[in-house]
Amino acid sequence: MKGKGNVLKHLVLIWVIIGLLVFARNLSTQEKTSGTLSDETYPGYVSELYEVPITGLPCNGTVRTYLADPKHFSHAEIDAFLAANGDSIISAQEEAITYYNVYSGYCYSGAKFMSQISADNHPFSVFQYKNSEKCLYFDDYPIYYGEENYQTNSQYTIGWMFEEEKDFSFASASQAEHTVREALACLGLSEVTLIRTLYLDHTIMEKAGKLLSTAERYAPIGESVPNNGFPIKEDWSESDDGYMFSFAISVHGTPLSYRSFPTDTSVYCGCEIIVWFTKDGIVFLTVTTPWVVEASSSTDMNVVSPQSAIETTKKKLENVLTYQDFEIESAYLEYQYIQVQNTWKLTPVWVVTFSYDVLHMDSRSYGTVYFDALSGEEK
Amino acid sequence: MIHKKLKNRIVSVMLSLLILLPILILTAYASSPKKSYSYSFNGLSGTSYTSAKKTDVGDSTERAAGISILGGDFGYGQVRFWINGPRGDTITDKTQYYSSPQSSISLLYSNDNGLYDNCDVTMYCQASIGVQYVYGNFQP
Repeated sequence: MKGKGNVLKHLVLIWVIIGLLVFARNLSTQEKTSGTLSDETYPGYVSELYEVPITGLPCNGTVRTYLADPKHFSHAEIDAFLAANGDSIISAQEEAITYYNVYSGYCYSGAKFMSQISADNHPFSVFQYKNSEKCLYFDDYPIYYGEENYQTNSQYTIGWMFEEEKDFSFASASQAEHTVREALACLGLSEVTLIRTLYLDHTIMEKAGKLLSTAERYAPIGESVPNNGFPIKEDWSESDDGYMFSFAISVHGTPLSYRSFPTDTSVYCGCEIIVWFTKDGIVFLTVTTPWVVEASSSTDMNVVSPQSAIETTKKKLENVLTYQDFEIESAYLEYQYIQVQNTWKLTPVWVVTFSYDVLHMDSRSYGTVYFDALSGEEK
Repeated sequence: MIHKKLKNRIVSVMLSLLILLPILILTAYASSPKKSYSYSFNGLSGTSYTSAKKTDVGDSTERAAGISILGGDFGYGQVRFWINGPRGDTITDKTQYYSSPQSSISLLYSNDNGLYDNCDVTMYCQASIGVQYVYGNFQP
């Protein structure tokens, strides 16, 4: 009985400590705001008339189509990538899971890696490397998890806070990018195009944490949790600085699409490479659906003018009554893969992006239309 | 004798709960926060979709997605939702039909869902005749 009494006392003490921790956490949380920012604004897309920026138009007005194969990462390539990042495997296993073959394991740095491949099912290949402890805040904070999301979801993300170019003490941005490119080359990803760089300054990360933990729009749906569920760090320092790089596979200078979207019969899996780089090297890497670009499957062919794609998009939007104040945001050339019998082909596509208002919604909405760049037909 | 045994058993169970509950609470605090996406659909389209990234695979929040309907013009129509995974197959049940704003709709992912961290998922919204538009938030 005396022994049980002591156990009870210890348990009561544990509950008191937990209660104090909860109380202290709630005390440090400021009152939730209505969602407007105190000293930061996010870049809403302004409804102004401006000439549509067009990128990717070939200098000589011609393009080719190419054959391609899904890229599967070999064990040797994975080992070489890890070595380039100053890491190596402690333990690994390979197993067949439903439609995929998965090779995964743990590294000496504490990172986990996973390579998932399939011959017949999307996505054909995924490779991820993640040191959870070292990229906790980059991962948990809604900074960047895809270019399409970055462009269209700024209301709920904070990546826009990190756009100002700067060099950190552990490496300049160009040095960091060079190191990352060398590591990607070890994986067989030598031909890549940089899509975006973000500069993760620790002083801005601290501001970001305060914003995320208090603004109502970052709260989870249907429940109230302390700090909106985001981890909060009190002791940010230079050692927490980092860069985010996102890349696309380059098809002779033109990017392969990073977008993912459903099709009539399947799903189109975009290819995107996202890297977080700090003083510890690469702490996070994800590569989805990479391709090996093979020989060209055509001669030079004329590209349809993007203006016809833009005009077709405008006429389409004019007929949608619930779209208000629509604006064509951009038009650019990219490659997309298609299946032709037993082969994969990369074909050029004009992508036209637009934004519009919906009655009663605070933020603008976005859409995309695709056009075959050789025929001008909407895809 | 039986009364004493029963009493001891009850005390043991309560002690176990007192030990386990703090662990569960601390574990709940360690879960990864959900990322939000806004959506707006033109109801005349029939079925619309929005793509998102699921970034909490492996965390305690991975089993369910959340959708809110913040507003819209339903007319006499209704909407329902479901989610497709990275393979393109449907990985949640379809929700019931809704004809008014909802603060929180929960969808549970099926067991064989093909999800992996940072994968693409697609939320579908099917609108019946009468729905002009609907908008809200989605947290995969």
